[in-house]
Amino acid sequence: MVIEVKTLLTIIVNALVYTAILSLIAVGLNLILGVLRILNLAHGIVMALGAYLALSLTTLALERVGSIGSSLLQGALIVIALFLSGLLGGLLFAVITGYLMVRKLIHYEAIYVLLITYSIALIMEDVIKFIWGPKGYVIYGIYPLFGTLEIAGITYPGYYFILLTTAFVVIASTYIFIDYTSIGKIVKAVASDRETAIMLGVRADMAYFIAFTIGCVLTGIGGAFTAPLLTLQPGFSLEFLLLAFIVVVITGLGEIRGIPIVALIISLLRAITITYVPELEMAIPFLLMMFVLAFRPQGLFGGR
Amino acid sequence: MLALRKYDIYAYAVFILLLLLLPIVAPRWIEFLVIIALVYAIMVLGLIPLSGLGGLITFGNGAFMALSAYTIGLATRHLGLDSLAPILIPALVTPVITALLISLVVLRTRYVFFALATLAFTMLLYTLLLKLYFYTGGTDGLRIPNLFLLKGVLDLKVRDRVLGDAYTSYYLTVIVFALVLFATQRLVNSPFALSLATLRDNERRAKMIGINPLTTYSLAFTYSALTAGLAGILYALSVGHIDPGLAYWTGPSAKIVFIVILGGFSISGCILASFLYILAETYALKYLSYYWQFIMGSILLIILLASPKGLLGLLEAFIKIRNLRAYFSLRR
Repeated sequence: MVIEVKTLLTIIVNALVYTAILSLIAVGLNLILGVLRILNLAHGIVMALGAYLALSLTTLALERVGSIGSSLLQGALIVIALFLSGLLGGLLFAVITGYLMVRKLIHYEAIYVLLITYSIALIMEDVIKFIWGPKGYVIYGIYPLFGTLEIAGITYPGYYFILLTTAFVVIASTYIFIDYTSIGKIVKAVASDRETAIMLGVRADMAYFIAFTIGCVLTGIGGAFTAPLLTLQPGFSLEFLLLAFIVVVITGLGEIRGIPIVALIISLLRAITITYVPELEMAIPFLLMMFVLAFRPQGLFGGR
Repeated sequence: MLALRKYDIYAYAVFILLLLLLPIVAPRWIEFLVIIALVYAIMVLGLIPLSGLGGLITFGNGAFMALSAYTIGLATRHLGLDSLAPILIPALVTPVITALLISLVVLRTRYVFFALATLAFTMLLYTLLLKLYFYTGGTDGLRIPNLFLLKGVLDLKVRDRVLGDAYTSYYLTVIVFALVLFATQRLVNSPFALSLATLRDNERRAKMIGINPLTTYSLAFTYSALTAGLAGILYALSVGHIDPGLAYWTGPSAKIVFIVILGGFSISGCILASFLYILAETYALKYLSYYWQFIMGSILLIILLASPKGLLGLLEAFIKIRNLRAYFSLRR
């Protein structure tokens, strides 16, 4: 079997786009898991909130920007609108559930937390359905703004590269924030040893709130920038949530460093299976996760 | 509670007798609700040793339910069998063997990661059932024909109306429920239960006094798979149609975890919780078909936040109103 260059390139580009989305969600998920030790099953809702807000905000913006002449300016405005809706979605979820998560759930057993966040997901999904309705939406008018890019005879929407750049910038700045600012260092300290950090006078509550908010905002941005790629309908984020879980488990609990690499591996495997054996699309990531759990339960990057 | 244990067995006997007599007095629609509630109760009872005593929560028991149901579906569709008895053995052996094999992998993890590993397994099965549509019918699922119990010997079909105008499968469900109830009652009061509880409390010490975590947990896991398989068979026979949704993680897998926690891991609590859950779900679906998730989610959230001991705990607290405040503050 000869693998064509075109097929290979398509696989790589698709995998990169998927990596960007998955990394944003999984970093958010794993940050919350690492610092708060809460596995948030309602995380898909944050993504959905970001995406649906992006739907409303960009539709609003696209109506207004028509009068602006330069398409560069139009594009910039849309990117800002997407970014803002992601930020807003994340903050909204953090505000609504933050108190419950940080003050209450932190003292509960892991399995109760799992079920409580699951019931929050059930409730919020219906709230979203109540606001935006149960029908599917597609955001038109964003792709044309960013033109197309031709590589080796195949054209790709220019929006892909906006998505990749945004994901890179957002994730890199999260890493920088955690590593180089004093607040970030506090968050890291609480994540690595909660009791000692509290004993040394760190306000753990602040670290929880910050980590939770950052995690939600990252996922919200992920959702907002994913919105133009797919049809928005109730429950669309479940697939991404499940894949983000797999990425988190393979990487290791609370280990945000290795996530982009694992996300890339998963996305590549997924793109390859979709191209050659589409029946096994979802089966491969789950198999890989079981394999990792069997031979390295702490995850590929998990130290403990 | 301990003093009550002596009389439990009589209470259960009366309960099963009532269930057997129910079709005579109750209208037909209740019969179907009771079947579904009992199917869930069977699965939930099977979870008690693993989750209640062993402290491991699985999100993957829907997979075993689907395995059994699909064994019946595939045998009737592709082998053309038309009686239940010969299919029964493969339909029960499949989940048991699978559980024994899978437990070698998933039991290398604990707590949340165990839940996620079993979730991965059920989703794996879900995608296979969905994508191998030539055999499994994909999203359409499979129709389960009205099988004979054993053609030639017992010419009775599972969805025939017999005594008291109820399905044969209704009586089958009640009998299996009684057996599972008895087995679980014996298991919960056995040395095996003690070793499970020891493992939950401190695995390292349990190992030191000679309890093998892998075999103990693996047996409890297989028991839960066996009951899920039984539930799958009964579900397939009574409903007459199966689809991959059985193996989806928000399907039966998540529901039984809810029920077992609402039931506070006790046998009577779990039976009560499965009946209440099915009733609540049915009525929420009937009157608020669009927003039933909202209602279910709110009820579950309130119960989980108010009483980690489950429904019986809540009931107990309301009976002793004086202790209510102490009860809520004890939570931490």
